[in-house]
Amino acid sequence: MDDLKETLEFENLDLTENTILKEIENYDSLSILTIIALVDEKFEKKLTAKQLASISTVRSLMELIGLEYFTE
Amino acid sequence: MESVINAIEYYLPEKILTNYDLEKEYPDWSALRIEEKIGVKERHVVTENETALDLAYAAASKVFKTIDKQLIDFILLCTQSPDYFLPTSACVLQDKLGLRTDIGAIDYNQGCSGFIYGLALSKSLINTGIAEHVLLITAETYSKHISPNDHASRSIFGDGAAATIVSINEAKKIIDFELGTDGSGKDNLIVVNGGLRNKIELTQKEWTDDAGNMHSNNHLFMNGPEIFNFTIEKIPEVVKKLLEKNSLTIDEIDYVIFHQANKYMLEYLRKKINVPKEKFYNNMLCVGNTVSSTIPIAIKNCLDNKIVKTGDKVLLVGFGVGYSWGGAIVEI
Repeated sequence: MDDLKETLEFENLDLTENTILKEIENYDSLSILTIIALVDEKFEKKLTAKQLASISTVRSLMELIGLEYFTE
Repeated sequence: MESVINAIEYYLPEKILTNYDLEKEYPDWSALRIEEKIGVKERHVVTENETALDLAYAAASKVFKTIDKQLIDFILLCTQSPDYFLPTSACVLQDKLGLRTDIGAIDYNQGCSGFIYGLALSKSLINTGIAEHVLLITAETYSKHISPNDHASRSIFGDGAAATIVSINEAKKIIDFELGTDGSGKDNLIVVNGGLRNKIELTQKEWTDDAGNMHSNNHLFMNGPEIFNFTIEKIPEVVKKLLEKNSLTIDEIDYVIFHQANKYMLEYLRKKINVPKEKFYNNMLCVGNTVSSTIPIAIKNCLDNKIVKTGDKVLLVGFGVGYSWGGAIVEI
């Protein structure tokens, strides 16, 4: 969760699972690239543009990656 | 008969589009953010009356200040913005430049991998004795394909041309290639209308994406995330294969120049293939993504700034529209 926050430069925000990605300030196509890169690097998974377009909240992003990776 | 890159010059059109110009048109699109994230501060764009052929002519004229144009016995012109469907722009260029008539001239349609393919073709022409001095030109005006309301694409791409002379040489300086093609990616970087498959829509259907960029089938469409996925999957493989084929490790390469697509992607790729910053070119600040010319422009800049010197082994990789990709190992 912290990794996500840092990479997307969302440290200053109250990022919860219910936060809607598109409503985050500065969330743009570059943020999407950053997510793809992060998931590739940290989880060795591939996310497509289509998958990312189909999700809306931070929680759905976590689900896409796999909730098992987000144990607190 | 082996070959070598003999000379490179490039030409950028005079008109400059700065981030501040873009910010004025789209207040939500911050100039500083463009520079920071995309790595581009300004890019050169052609005027209404300038074409890729004009840029090609200018670049070639520059290189002929140091190389005798009468030596040229083949012209390869890489462009996706030709003056005409026919005749071949390279033929028109032969005449404009006053080159010999007992020479070959063809256009080839390639984008970001274009320079690598041009080197491969040049090497082949020379190896087979068909030519001794190839004028390899990459010339592009994507600005003419981009919608005026697509600020994302307008931020990334710049127009420009490079003229490279590939010459016969005793020692093998253009060493090896690894080429690839995957047409399943065709829709991710495309101008749908205007060719012979689909006519230009006179009543243009337009749509706007989440970021406010306007798109139409008459204009260039690029799916950034998909291309990013393709690149990060393919390119490290290509680098690995090319090095293995030539029994080299990445540490034995003196410098690495990838197609300058965007700063973020380049930095990610650099880390993936384990190359230190000082051995990796990442600079599109004042030119943007000039498509097939990014690599020759980078080589020229490196030579001028003594970042790369004679004898250096350089790894070049071009990738993008098509999908098409190519890697090459050359000795400068």
